[in-house]
Amino acid sequence: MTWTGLFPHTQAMSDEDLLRRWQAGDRAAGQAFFQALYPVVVRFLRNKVADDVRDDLVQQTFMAAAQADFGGRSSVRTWLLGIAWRHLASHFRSAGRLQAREVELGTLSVAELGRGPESQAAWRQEERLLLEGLRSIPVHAQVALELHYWEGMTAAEIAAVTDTPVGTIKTRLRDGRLALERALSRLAASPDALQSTLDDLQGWARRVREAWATPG
Amino acid sequence: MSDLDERLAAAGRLEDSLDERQRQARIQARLFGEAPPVYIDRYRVGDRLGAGAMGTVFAAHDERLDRAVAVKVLRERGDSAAARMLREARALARLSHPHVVTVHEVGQDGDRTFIVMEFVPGTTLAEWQRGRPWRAVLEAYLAAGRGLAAVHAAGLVHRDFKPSNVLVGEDGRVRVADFGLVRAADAVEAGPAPVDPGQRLTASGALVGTPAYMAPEQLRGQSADKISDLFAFSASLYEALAGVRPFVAPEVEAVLARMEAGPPPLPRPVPAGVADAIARGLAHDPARRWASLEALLAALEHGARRRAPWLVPALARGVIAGLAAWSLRTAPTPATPTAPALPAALRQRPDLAARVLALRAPADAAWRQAALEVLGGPVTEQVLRPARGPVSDLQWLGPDDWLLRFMDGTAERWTAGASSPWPGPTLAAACRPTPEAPALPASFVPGSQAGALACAAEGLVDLGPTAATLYPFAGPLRPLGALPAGGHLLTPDGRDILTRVDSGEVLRQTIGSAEPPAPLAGLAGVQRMAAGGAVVAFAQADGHILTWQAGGRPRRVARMDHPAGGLLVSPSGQWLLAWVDGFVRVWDLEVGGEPMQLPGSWRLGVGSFDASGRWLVLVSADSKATLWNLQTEVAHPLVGHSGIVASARFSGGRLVTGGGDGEVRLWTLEGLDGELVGRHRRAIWAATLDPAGDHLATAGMDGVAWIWPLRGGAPVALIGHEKPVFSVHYSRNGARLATGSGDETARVWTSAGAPVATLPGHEGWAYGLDFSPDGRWLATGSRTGVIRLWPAAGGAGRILGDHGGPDRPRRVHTVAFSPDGAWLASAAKSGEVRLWPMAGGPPRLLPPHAGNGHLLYLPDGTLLTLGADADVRQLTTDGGRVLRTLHHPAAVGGVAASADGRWLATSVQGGDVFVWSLADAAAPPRRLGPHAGHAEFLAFDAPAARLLVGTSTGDLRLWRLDDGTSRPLPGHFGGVRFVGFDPAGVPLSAGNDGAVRRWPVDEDEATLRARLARATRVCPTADERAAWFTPAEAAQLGCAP
Repeated sequence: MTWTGLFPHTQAMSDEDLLRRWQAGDRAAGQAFFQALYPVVVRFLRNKVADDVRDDLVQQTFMAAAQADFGGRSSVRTWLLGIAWRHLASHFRSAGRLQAREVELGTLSVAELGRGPESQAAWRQEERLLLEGLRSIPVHAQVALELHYWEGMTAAEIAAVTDTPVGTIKTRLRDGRLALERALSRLAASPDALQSTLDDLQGWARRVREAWATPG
Repeated sequence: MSDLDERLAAAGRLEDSLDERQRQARIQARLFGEAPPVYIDRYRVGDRLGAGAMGTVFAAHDERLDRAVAVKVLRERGDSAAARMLREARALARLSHPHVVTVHEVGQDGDRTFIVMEFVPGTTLAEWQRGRPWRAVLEAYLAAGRGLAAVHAAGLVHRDFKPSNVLVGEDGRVRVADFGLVRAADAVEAGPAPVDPGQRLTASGALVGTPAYMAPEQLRGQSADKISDLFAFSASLYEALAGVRPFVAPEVEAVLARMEAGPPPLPRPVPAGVADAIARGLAHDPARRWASLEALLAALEHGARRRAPWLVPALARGVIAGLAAWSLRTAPTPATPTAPALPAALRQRPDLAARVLALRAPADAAWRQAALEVLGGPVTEQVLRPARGPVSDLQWLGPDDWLLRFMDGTAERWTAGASSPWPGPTLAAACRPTPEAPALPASFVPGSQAGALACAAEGLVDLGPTAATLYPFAGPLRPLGALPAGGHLLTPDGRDILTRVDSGEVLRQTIGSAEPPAPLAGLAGVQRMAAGGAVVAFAQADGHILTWQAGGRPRRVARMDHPAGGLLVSPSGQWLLAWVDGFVRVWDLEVGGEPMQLPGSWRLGVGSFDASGRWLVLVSADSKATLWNLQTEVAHPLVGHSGIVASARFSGGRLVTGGGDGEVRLWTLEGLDGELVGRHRRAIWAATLDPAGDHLATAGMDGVAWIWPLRGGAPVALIGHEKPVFSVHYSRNGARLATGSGDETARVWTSAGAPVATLPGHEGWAYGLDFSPDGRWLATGSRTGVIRLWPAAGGAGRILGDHGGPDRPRRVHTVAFSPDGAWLASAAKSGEVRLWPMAGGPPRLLPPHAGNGHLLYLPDGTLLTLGADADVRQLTTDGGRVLRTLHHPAAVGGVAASADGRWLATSVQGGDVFVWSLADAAAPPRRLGPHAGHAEFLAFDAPAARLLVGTSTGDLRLWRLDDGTSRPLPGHFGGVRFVGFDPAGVPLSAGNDGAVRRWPVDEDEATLRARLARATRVCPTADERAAWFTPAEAAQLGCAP
């Protein structure tokens, strides 16, 4: 979605111009920057955390961007996603979901990290399948694949976002894609497997328990 | 690009939903303080009001019509789902009902369906119902139920009815909302149970509907229909009235198991009729629930109206008129019809608000509270406000004169006075404790004017030196001189001062004697002392508890594992109470033996016995006062204090309690509950009166039968059975009685309790006994359906036959001889009824019942048969012809005929009792009830003026048949197993709690009216007076200023 026409004087500006003007105190430029890059940040976060956490992380990312130094070593988008990545990693750690050890972000999937996106009701079966597949591979691979396919980023750009050597990213893209194919074929080969993933009966029982444990 | 690459790239598409736009706008607003407006169609979208599994609701503004609306945007569910939802939302839009949120428009925005509804400023029912009186809550649910019924009438099912989906507007109107899950009823009901995960689970895995209110069939993933809605409505109402959900368990399976077991009973003061209606709405089997929401609503309304029917409407009007003065200064009735206005301060104090509502509003709440207090528990007679702080001790010296100790800030003060004028002067300085002389034990000599008050300070004891001006004591006041330092006690006879010194010795000094104090022998390490009657009790550090009487030596009562923290002796000297290790134990010093342990946790040192030794008042650890009847062991909570109860005491013939807020209440206990005739160690299974009605025989699960003489005399135990005794029957002349037991024998006894015969060989048990009219034979039935005939004097019996068929439950429930002795009738669990000709020959099979067969010969010789179906049949003596069939709305459980044979009472499952005229078959039955639980046991009094009803939950209720009013007789724990009347017409009962009780209830309406008036007459506090009443009005309140 776009919001063109709302701030005419900012239309011709690049992301970087908008950011610099925002950091200099131009609120209109800041809003234009936010509107331009909001979808990028949301797309990055939406399949990794629950809805309410996502909104907080989006806000934190932009608040940090307003004050952070943009060195110009990469594109604004890469730089901004790097901020989002650090907030996401920090969230996973501070939420006690895992110890602050990189290796675990590499081996645990978002599904295992206890994420629970709630806005997926709208997604068509095929997209659901893919998103489920992405969620079931290690976080680092998921991030690399999503940035590559959704933001069109190169391995070098992804390396900049996650502060990782390029070679590692290339490995993650290759391994992640294989892992995703395996996951998808497992889910797709058996409708039951997909259904069981979606239905997640234990999760269902837990949610029922939670519904009982709290009023309303 | 490979297929996967394409698919992956496509999955990067972001949702363009209103919800997403709203979220972006919200974050933008948080970052920049402003955000561009978001529209859907012509509606400017504002705050998100809430989200459910099916969509999100926003406040919005209709730009064209310039009005506030609520917009619900449904989540995408595929084309067919969207089309169906659209169709159903449009059906809703055609529905117009005051208790259903109006749907203005259903529209499409892109691929989203949205519903535009009226915007209802206000709150949800879930919020609104907190802390409201049950009647207001019920009214709101009745309104919501009518809205839900309208939804059903439109052919729709809500599927997610719950308190948070019902809105209560600022105008007070209740509206059912949140139709995200509403579906056409036929779409749900058609076909087998759908297991389409899209119905049970959303894509994100959330349950459709709210598990906490879901019907069991819905929880199991089966289809939801109107009857599931009815369940959700009942579950919501249950929670609103009980404060907790009916079925709570950590696991779904456990919840389902609880659903099968049925909901726990609703607490008082919810009327039984309402509770029963809800319970039926919560039935596990949908077929056992009400057939429609309308039926449930009608039952709820009926149940609410039947509250306290013993108090006839004329009486109610009188009380309400008497209460009118209390409403003079309350705010005008607000727009919300179900929410009486409260002063703003009271809204912050729901506890206080509840009391003010209960005692002052001339509405149902006051009526209910008054009726509760009058009929169910002790009644406040008078309320005084003598003190500013917690009342820690109080004494009544005479009819109107009192003395009390209270905390005034951090200082402890005594004050004394009379009921009028009020308040009295503070007691003189000599009796005011100081930090240097903090102890002030005050002892009173019951019934004696001499030395009525002792004050101790710095070891000096004076007898009433300064109170004399207030209380003219007879006799000279004598200074006692120095006493040893320690705790002092004036002995009950007023002759001695006992001093407990630090060494643990007790020194005794006779008042007026020149002898120095001397130690009392036989005591060591004494930590506590208490006196009552002629008895002084001591608790030692080694756990021993001892008693002592003047002239004797200390005597051991018990040794506890821990030393007692406090002692109390009743004024009669009969009861000794000790607080030990968090428990309270009570010894009967006259009888001896093991102490009673009172259930619960009680505040150390706060308690009192009344002079008769019948009552004990204690204050619980959470500062609520409870009155115990030591004879019946029934506990009555004292309902009235707004906050904590700081002290409670029987004094001057009254029960008086002091509140933490300085309020003092006087209570009347008259007519509070029944008398305990006697007690089995275990449950009583059956009981019967002898033909003359002056002996009651009871059969106990403890293997003992007892004969209780009702005109006085000692009860007789019938000992011999080795297993539970299930049945007991008298012969027609009362000379013999028979008992049947699980030990496979029946036994015959004389009416004095001497054994006559033991009749062995019953399969499983001997049950269903009856003597032949001439007393020569005893008939028995066994667990396997065998009918036997025994000579009543003993000897070999013979088998008449059995209720055949190996595949049916044959156990015999009842056997009965016809009055002419020609037939023996037997009824079995299978519902089969047989008539055995005593002259010989094969049995006659009567029309069977559905199960649980039961029968009864009426005084005119006709036979009644009944069972687990809804019909009671009246047949000729020989069973040859059905004279009349009495149809009931549900399975019949109990039956009783009046002695004159003119009336028949029957009870049906669910708690209703019907009274039929046996003389006039055309007369419709009268319906009495409902009752809590199944009203299995019924009895008419001799003139058939009253009917006593006992239920499976312990509800005992006495009905007057002239005006259809009733009163509860509270006291049984567990089910009632027998009801009857003694020769004087006093109700009798026996039950699973093992108790045989007698209920002297002779109050006429005038007495009740007076008690009710007293119960509702409460004096307002000074602040309340100032706030709510003019001086002139206050003068009319009938309370001391």
